[in-house]
Amino acid sequence: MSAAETLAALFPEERREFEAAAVGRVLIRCCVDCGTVAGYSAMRCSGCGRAEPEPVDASGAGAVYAVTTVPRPGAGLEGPVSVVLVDLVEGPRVIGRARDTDLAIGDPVRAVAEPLGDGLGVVVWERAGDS
Amino acid sequence: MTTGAVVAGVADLVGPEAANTAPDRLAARASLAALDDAGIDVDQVDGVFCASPNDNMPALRLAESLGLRPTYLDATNVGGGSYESFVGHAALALAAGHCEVALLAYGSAQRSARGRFTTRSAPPPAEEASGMLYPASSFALMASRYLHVHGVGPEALAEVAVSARAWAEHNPRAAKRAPLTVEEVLASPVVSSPLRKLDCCLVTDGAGAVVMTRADRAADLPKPAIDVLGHAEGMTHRFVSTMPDLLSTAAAVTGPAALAMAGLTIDDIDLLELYDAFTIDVLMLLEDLGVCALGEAGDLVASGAIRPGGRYPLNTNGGGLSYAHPGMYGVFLLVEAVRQLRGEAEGVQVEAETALVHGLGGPLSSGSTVVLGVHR
Repeated sequence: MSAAETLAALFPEERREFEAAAVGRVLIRCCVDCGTVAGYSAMRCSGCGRAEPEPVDASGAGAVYAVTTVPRPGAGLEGPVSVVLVDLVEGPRVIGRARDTDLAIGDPVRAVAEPLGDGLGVVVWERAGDS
Repeated sequence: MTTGAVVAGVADLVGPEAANTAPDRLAARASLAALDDAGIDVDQVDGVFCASPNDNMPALRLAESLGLRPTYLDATNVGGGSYESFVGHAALALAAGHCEVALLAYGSAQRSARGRFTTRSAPPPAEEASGMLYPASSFALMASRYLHVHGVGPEALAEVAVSARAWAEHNPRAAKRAPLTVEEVLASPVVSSPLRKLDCCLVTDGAGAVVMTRADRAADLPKPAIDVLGHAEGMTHRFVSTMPDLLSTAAAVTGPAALAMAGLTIDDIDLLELYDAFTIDVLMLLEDLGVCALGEAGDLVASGAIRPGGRYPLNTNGGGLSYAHPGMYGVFLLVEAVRQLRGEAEGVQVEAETALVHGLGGPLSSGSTVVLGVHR
């Protein structure tokens, strides 16, 4: 399944994450009671147990936590493709494709929009400057 | 200590023995062979435990095909290690009197079917859209982290594949028996860096079955009974993108818990059967189970400790890397552990009175540890 087909099949709550991604925003969750942040999929605050933490925008900046490069990737993509787990500066970890295929663990990265049509898209990760 | 349950019989069919046959027929055939091994008539089976990657009601299909009317059914699917979970579930069902004879069986035509039977547990869309491969890239991300944090090279992974092959060379039923070197592993094509083709488990056909009953029947069995001394299961995540710590798995909890139930420590274990879907699994599991300290598994494996003649005999049939890997490998770990403890190994026979078996499911998502011992 291509990335666009995967996203087209989503229910509204999941679409929201990829509507934001289409314009380069990374959604995470933040608990209105205790301030604990979490990934977008979290249904419950890991700090205080409150249900359904609020979606908020992350800065889109982070560092590579783990990386793999795939010569013959899925999702209908041309290889090689690098996939990174990124630790956002806010704390939660997210996964996505990298724009560069030479990223190393610890490298600073930032999110860039990759629109896929119909108002949906993903963010891809590119090396950030030293700033 | 013991759970009060014993393994009475085991059987497996691998490679050509299982080619071009529907998965449910393979599971039934392995069941009959394991019951024959146990000396128990098929009509005595009243507990059926079966998981499948391509059927959501496999226990019903198995019971029907064998003409059974079980009083206890379990088709829990926590991934490839479901059969280690079943051992614990079956021990509880036997102890509670819900069944008298428990049959755990699995069949897969993964190789012959060439993808025709595949079903899936849909990944998070951000993972799926990234182009990562399932399941290799999830384990590759862990491997990248492992090599980085511990400052070791990919030969640490390759040594695991070489060790598995060193056992398989002596096993006439292993799928891959040609001697293997670290250089050959490192020269095989990259699947998802740092994992190469020879870091990945085989894709084979196969079936396996385990028969369990209560220890009070042990004296009536034609072959030595194997005590189920301890069991524990758990999980830490479903997908790699939500794995809390890429270098720690459920085994860090289930290993000590199962050993405590058995009244043993890891130093008392003579034989390790650890789910090796990918080479990285063995390094992480050796550390989580306390066989060695964090970051030391690479050196331990390179020293020859898990090869024939080493201090920690591990995956003695050749494992998922060289023996067989028909979709879900868990039942085959149990079959090999029982064969070794009975002195019936088909490859290298090791001196073992206790064995620790650890199954994993998903990208090291679930974990289930079983401690086995020769019946006393």
